[in-house]
Amino acid sequence: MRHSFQHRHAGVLLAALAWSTGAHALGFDEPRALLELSLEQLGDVEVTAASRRATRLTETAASVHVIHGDDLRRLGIRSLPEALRLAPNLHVARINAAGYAVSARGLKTSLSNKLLVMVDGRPVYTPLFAGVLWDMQTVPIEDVERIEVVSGPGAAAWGANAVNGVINVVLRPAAQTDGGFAGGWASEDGHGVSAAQTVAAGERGAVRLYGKHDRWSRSESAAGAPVADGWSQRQAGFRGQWRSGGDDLRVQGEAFEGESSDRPFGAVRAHGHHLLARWTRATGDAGQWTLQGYVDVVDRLDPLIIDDRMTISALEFAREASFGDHRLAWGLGYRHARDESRAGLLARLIPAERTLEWAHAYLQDQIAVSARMTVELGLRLDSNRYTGVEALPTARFAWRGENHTLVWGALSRAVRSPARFDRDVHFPANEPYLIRGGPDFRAETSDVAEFGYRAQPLDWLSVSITGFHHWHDGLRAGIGAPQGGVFISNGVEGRTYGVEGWATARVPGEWEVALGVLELRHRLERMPGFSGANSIRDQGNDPEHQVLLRASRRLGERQQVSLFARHVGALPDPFVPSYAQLDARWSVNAGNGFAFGVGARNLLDERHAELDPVSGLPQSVFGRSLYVDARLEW
Amino acid sequence: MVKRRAHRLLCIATAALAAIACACTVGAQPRAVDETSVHAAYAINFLRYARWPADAAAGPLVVAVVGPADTAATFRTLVRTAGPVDGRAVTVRAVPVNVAAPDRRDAARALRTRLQGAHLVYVAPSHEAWQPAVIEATAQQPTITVGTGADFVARGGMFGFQQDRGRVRFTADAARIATARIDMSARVLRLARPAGGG
Repeated sequence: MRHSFQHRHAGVLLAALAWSTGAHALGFDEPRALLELSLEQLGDVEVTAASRRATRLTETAASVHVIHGDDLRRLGIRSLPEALRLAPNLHVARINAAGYAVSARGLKTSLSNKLLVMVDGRPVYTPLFAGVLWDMQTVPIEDVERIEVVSGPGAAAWGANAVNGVINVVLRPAAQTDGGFAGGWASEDGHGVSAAQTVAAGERGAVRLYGKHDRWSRSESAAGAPVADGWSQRQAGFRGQWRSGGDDLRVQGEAFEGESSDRPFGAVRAHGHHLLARWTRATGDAGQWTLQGYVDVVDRLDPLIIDDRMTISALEFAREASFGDHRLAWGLGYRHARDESRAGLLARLIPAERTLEWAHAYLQDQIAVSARMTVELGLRLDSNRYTGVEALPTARFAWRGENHTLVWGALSRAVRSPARFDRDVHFPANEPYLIRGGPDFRAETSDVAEFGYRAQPLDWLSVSITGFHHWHDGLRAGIGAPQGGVFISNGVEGRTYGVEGWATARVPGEWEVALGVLELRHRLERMPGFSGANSIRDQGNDPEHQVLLRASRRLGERQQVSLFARHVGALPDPFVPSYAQLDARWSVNAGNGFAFGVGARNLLDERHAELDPVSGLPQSVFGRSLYVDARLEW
Repeated sequence: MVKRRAHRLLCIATAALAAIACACTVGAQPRAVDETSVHAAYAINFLRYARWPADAAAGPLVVAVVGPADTAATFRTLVRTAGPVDGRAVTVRAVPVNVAAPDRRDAARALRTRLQGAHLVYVAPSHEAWQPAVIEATAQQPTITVGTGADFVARGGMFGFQQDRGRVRFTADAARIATARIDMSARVLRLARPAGGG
């Protein structure tokens, strides 16, 4: 079912989120906008790391939730997926010890593929299946400045794959760090240690060196049997920053290796490294340009599924500038990947080796129509080896009222372009194949309408609510192949719609309470000619409701108590019952840089599963676990 | 196929345009816009919420900026935009000094006349070495001292800015403000973080 607006608006330029941070500038008259803020509101002004330009989240015409690094540390968060649980516009399900599925706006599977996830501007989703292998994504939590979570399409700014959302993890720039720390955590389900140190690098620069080791113990099945899903990972890296006048140069690199516990067909092993350089220059037209390049190599050996070595190199240029009432952003980029695979027991890629390449160009214009109204128009052209050029348009508006009220709306088109697992995969690894990659598989398309309201009715209270409706076309499904088995093709269409909202009440330095609610519905159907029984089920397994509640309270000057509760509705197919989880942590700042905390996860001890795995392992359940953590800063 | 040909064309065009873009923009002039603007906005709010003793209660309000010229320029832009505070004009006095500070006593002596009559002194982050001298030079004066870094208030300053979670927060020493005979609104002091609190 294709809707008329998707044709009519295909050529409409779209607007999007600001390059590099997802947040917008205060406005065209920055000094006046700053001075109109109350003292309390000045505390909400964000100084973005990339542009050093003051920005306010409340001005962004998109559903954006920001998780602050402090919130992670208050709650004793240990991994990136655990951190993402704090975002009310995401659904995060733990599959096993270190495996997670993360989705925004639904269509969640353990191989979810419609999110664009970036760590400091570097995409971490693999072109193998256009999704993220979460067990390998370890970030130094102590150095996370914030995580920006945009639900809904960010395709006009970020390109293909940003269909249902964009996650950008921003680490503290080296020059904003000082000294170092050593810390660790120990729990019934694992342990970890990490350390970092900042060293001066010339008069204008600093380099943050860090290392980390985490071990996640095996989980258990509902019957109490151990599951061979343990995972341990070591990584070390550096982030360098040099500033001079309006120039900001970042160079960062990291290497990691990880392995699972022994499995019946052999352990999964992974190792990789990346090196990234980014040069940003502030320009005289109230803008900036950014030039970024990186090389990323990941080798993952999975004897059961597939061995794969992906080498990606990319070069991107982005420019922002203001001319009168127009704020322009445009950019270009090229990405090249060499993929070398070896068949596992269950799957094979044909051809085993393939070169992939992508290029993009985009232009966005944010127009101040009046003092209160801005309209954003933009278009991004994204090209890939499989389907050629895809056009990704968006049109957005934002109207600013009293008390920092923002009413916004957007119409966007986003695509998930084909990955190796759509075109080249064969299952099992040897003939006769039951599933073959589809030679004609085209991009999955989503046309999205969003409408949002955001306000700060009181200095200490902010609220955000967004309604959304996605029309999907050509979702992945199987169709009978002449040789037997099925081809992967574009066989499902339908709608996803719902509401997401959150409210935060905060008295600076004392207490903070945040509530988040997500309601989500699907209406999916097979396209003509498709009859596969699993086609609908394979699209995703999402709860209809989710409620998050987070609270933290300072006790005197040194102690703090934090609580995090979530209720997740039942998953329909395969059925996973609804569950409630309560985490709590008490922490003490003992002075001289030493802090420690004790806490419990799943305090209610409701042992529950969160999603069915597809890794060939049994379903894991998670119960209560106690932990301690400590950190010494200098 | 047309789309594939378009893909090849876009790859080539991207490479060519990237080269042109780099060549065109390398010459662009840097523009120093950073959290200084937010500091300046806070400083103006401190002026708005302060009441001065009789000997400092007339004439224009003077904001002295110890730091680079572009920091003073940022303050001037905001002060000009803000207009008068409580019916009093606000002027910005740049106090250009070298980044390296001399011995504290010499530095304080050098600053004393330049900070004479200032209602608020802001010490730029690049000039942190001058903080002790600024504090000494304004001791017992009805002058609000504002600086950056975790130690500014501990050193004897009144308001210290720090970046936290990408936002600008401040600590304050209410007792020192009162000692300087400045009546600062509780609204400001309530927002201040406890100095050194965890």
